Amino acid sequence: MLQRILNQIRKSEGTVSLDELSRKLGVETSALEGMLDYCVRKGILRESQDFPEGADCESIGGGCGSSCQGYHGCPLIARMPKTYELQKRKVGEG
Amino acid sequence: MQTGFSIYYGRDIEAEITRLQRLVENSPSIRTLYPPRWLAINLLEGDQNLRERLPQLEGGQVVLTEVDNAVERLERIYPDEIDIIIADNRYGWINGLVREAVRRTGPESRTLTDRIDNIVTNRMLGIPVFFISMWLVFMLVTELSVPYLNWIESVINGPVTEWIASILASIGLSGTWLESLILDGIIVGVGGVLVFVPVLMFLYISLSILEDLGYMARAAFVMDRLMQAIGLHGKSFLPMLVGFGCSVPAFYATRTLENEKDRVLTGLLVPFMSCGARLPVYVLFAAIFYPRNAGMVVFSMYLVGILVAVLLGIILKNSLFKGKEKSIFVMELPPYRMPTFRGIWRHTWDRTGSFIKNAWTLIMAVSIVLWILLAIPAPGNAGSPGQADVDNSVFASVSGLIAPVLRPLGFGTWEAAGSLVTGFVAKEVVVSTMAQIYGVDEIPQETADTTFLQDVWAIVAGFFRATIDTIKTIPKIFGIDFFEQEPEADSSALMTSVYKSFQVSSGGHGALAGLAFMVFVLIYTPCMVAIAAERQELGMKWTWISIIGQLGLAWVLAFIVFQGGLALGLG
Repeated sequence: MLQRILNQIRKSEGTVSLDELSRKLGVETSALEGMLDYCVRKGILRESQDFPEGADCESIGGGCGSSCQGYHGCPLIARMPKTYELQKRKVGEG
Repeated sequence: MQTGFSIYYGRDIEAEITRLQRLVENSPSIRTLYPPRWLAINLLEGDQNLRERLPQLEGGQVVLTEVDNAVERLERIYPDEIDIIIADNRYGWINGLVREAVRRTGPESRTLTDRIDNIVTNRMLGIPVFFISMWLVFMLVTELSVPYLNWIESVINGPVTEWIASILASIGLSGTWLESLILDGIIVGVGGVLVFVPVLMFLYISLSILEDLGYMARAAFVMDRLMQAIGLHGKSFLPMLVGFGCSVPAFYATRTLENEKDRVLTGLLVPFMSCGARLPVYVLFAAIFYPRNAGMVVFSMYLVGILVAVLLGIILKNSLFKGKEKSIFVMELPPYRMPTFRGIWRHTWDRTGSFIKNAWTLIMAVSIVLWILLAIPAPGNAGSPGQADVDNSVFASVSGLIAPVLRPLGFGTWEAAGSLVTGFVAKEVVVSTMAQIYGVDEIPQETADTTFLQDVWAIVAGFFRATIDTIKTIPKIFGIDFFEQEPEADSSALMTSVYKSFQVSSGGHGALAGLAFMVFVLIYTPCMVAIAAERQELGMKWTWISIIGQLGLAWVLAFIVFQGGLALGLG
């Protein structure tokens, strides 16, 4: 099952949405998320959101000055979706 | 204790499980604590807790040695780690069980989200839909904000200025340098930027609606595909999208890119995503030189920024940042949902609030410094501080040194040069500086004496009139005109002064020069705080390359716009 998911991701030519993957595999999205989370724990996928650690405009005199709420609270950032990026390791290839 | 069922993991793994199971069953101290099959499977999966506990039990070390041998044998057979193979089988078993046990009563219906995404994230339609959405946003922003922009301008230049002048007069400061500092420096400088608050509010309202709707995630999805298609890292667009708000957090967002080359390349492209602070410049110049097509002109600035970033990205990717790594990833798109008024208002107010706060702090400070530099005559020029002509000021003198470089671009004046220099502090300061430079010559209009309450009533009435005009503007965007007559072009003294100045400096081709100026503002170096963030993320070397590169590119592109337009007989 995991190999089917990873093979389908590789076939997607770059970016695929979770819903599209779910449809192609015939697996519920919630079940798919669980399997993707497993792959993240095993280092096959890397999960990321746009919240890099240590990002703080205030430390460099950012425009918001002392009221900088840090990256998580920055009002100027559009909230981006969660992504799972395939990492470089052989997983059921071929 | 035997369970009622067990998952089958394949012949080879099952053989190793059976071997380990027998070993565990022969160790009483282990078998009384752990079910043998369960223990065998978890050890093969590499459970660290169990591996630490077993050596403390009799026979535990023997079991562990056999586990390591088993893993070694299995890894010769399977292409991947055994824990993943085991998990693979487990999930496959679960999936099979669900298929057997769950019956769907009807054909799987596609949700509304799926049907919309069929179009919005379609490989062919996704990008055009994105650009049409952005065009619509900018049309709404530039058209709907005009009545409020005019209202704020009339309030600041009218009652607010008069009240402050009255207060200063009542304490004997009329005609003093302090009055000039406050009225001609702070009010003009800060007010010159605050009039654009409605523009930014409408922009943030539009973006908040798109975000809360769930569309911005789709925008990132389709643009990721575009990035990949042209050889850039798919996730490069995520920091760039952040850059449309502010370049500073956008530079930090490049940390999400693991590969250093991708991170540096994306960081170099981030400044071309036109941040919110540049919007006042576009709106002002579009209103001055392209009043009938202001929305389209503003939108085109953002398009040009994206285009420059993409082209530059392709060039750099194939030269300095060569690498054939293709990124592959899954993106979780949230379902579409109806935005709430509260959510939109909160996001909009947070964003607008930070703009206003910036105006009261940084821009006020710059306005004061600029006023001083405009008030002091340059060495060798006639006049005492505060009395000299601004053309003879220290600011004019210093800015005038740079002006010749800008002459081929159509705006080779000290005013334009000085405005661009102050833009290093913050991009919205460009407008603030122009307001001070050009506004200094403004002749105060004669107004009838009014009471404080009459002024307050006029402000409130003006707000309601602006609101009605804004509502009437919505159908006008689609060609339905509810205005009784074409509203007169409302050019402020600033707009008139800028127009005249650019007409003179460009030899009568002010519109082309205005467009070149906007392109220059789009491309040239970001503000000093963004540069500090860039240095922190990319290092000193790349930051200098970026600063010099952007200045050069800004000059070249503005040159192409102005001289190319002249050659083609435009403007």
